[in-house]
Amino acid sequence: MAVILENVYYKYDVDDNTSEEYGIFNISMKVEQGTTVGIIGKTGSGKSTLMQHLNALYLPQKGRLIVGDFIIDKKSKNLKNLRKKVGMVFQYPEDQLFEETIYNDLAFGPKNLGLSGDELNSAIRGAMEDMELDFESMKDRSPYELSGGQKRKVAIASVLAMNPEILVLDEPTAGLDPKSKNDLLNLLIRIKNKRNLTVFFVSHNMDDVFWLTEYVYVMCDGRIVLEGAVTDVFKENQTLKELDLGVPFSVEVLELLKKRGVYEGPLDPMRLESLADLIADVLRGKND
Amino acid sequence: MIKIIDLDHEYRKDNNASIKTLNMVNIEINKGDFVSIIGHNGSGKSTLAKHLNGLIIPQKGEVLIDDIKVSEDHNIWEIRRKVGMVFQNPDNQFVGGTIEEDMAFGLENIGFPSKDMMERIKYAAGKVGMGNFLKRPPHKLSGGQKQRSAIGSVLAMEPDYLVLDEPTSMLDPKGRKEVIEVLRELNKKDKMTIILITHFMDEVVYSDKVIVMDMGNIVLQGTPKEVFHNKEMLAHINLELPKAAILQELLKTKGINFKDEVLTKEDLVEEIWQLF
Repeated sequence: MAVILENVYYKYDVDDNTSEEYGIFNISMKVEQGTTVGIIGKTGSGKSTLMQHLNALYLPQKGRLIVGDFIIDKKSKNLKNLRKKVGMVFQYPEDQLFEETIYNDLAFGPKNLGLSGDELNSAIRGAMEDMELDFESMKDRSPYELSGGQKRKVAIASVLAMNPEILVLDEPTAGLDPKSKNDLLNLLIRIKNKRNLTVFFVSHNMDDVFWLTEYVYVMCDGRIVLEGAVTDVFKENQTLKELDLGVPFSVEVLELLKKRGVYEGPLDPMRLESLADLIADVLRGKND
Repeated sequence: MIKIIDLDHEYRKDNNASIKTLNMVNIEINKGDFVSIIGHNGSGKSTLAKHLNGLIIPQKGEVLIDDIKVSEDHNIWEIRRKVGMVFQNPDNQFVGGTIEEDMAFGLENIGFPSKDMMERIKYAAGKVGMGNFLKRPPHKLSGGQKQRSAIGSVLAMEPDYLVLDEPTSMLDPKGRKEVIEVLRELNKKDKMTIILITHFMDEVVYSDKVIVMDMGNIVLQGTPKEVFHNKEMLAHINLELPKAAILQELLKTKGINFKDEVLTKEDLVEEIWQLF
């Protein structure tokens, strides 16, 4: 499913005698089916407000969204069919687990959307298998007995059980240890490819954003202030710093090497392996 | 001084099975130390931390805070005054409508004289760089500001020890940096004892001591350099090295020999510069 936003505007009604405005203002985006886009910006920059428009939790006060065949504006009604298509994984999604068994937790969403019988069963089985949770041995267990990482997987599976075509991931790895974090991101990449999902990835970790996404939108004060291919956006390290955002580790290291006069090339974002190759080449070049 | 002696903890599940979350843990933390505790999810870090101010009472073994036993009921308020706790989610820790009110809440609870209260609040807020925000409501603060205020509210009680359970995991990079800087400052200037539980390996490199937990056991402890030198053990329990150390390892496999092992990008760049 492709997603288009046309001048979307939503202002919160905050009455606290300040001139500060909260919300999102004049946001336009065009996201092709099957791509992964990154949304970055400091706390309070409007990322979550924007994401909550994608499944019409908020309706735009001005402008409109086109999500697949659905057009969403301030007068939209009957949004159940849209909500089936847009899966939202909020921060710490395991806080939303509430049923006695994993099966029932995963069944809650799809049942509300009208699934039953074999269809319901296979949606749940498929979601659990995709999240690498064994259906037979786990379906009757309590989600509360699981470890933190496993709970997180169940919570994401309960979103996948609705068979969404768009997946919004808001800091999906917050609070996980490094190994669980990498495992989960690898798993999400596989699921994205298998299900051919369009993914919105919201994160403060610039290395993860660089790893997962193709295109990045940078938000500040409810506006998009920078956008582009991920490699281009992370070259704007000065702008990102001014916006209180980090840059990928490679950019930080290359910047320090440049200051020391060891390196003269561009400050490109890259994975650690490529960075090691580059530094090794620099050292060899000098020593030859 | 904090002494944890032969501490055991079992968590009982519904079906009468039990999981051992702490297994004969022994730790000594000196006043003025900056100690970090790392380990993967479920390794026992948070269970351990909750013992330090009696949120969990020892099932077996003992925790002594300046020789006062956590296991004895009548000590609990004394223990909680000595050991301040800060948790992960800043939004769950606010009780007041403004920072000032939030800081006053704890003081009122211990019957702190109201004529001295404002002075104490200003002092504590100043320590965490929030002195100019006393009238601000929490929803008008960034994540880092909220978490610094939470630390300030704890400092207002003048604890001897500060325990923080993943205080930065919900913050953006700027917020994380602010909180870590405040902790380092408190440790250096005021000799505040800091016990920091974290998943971010880059945050522990400044500690005096790092304690590594796995399945309820302490598997490593020492200075950051000593601990991160045990690369095989850390890999075995699924912990990563700080990014700079990973990069240095990659460079070593490409035949580059370094004088010293590093933990920060600044130190790595110095090492590379010396080879250049």
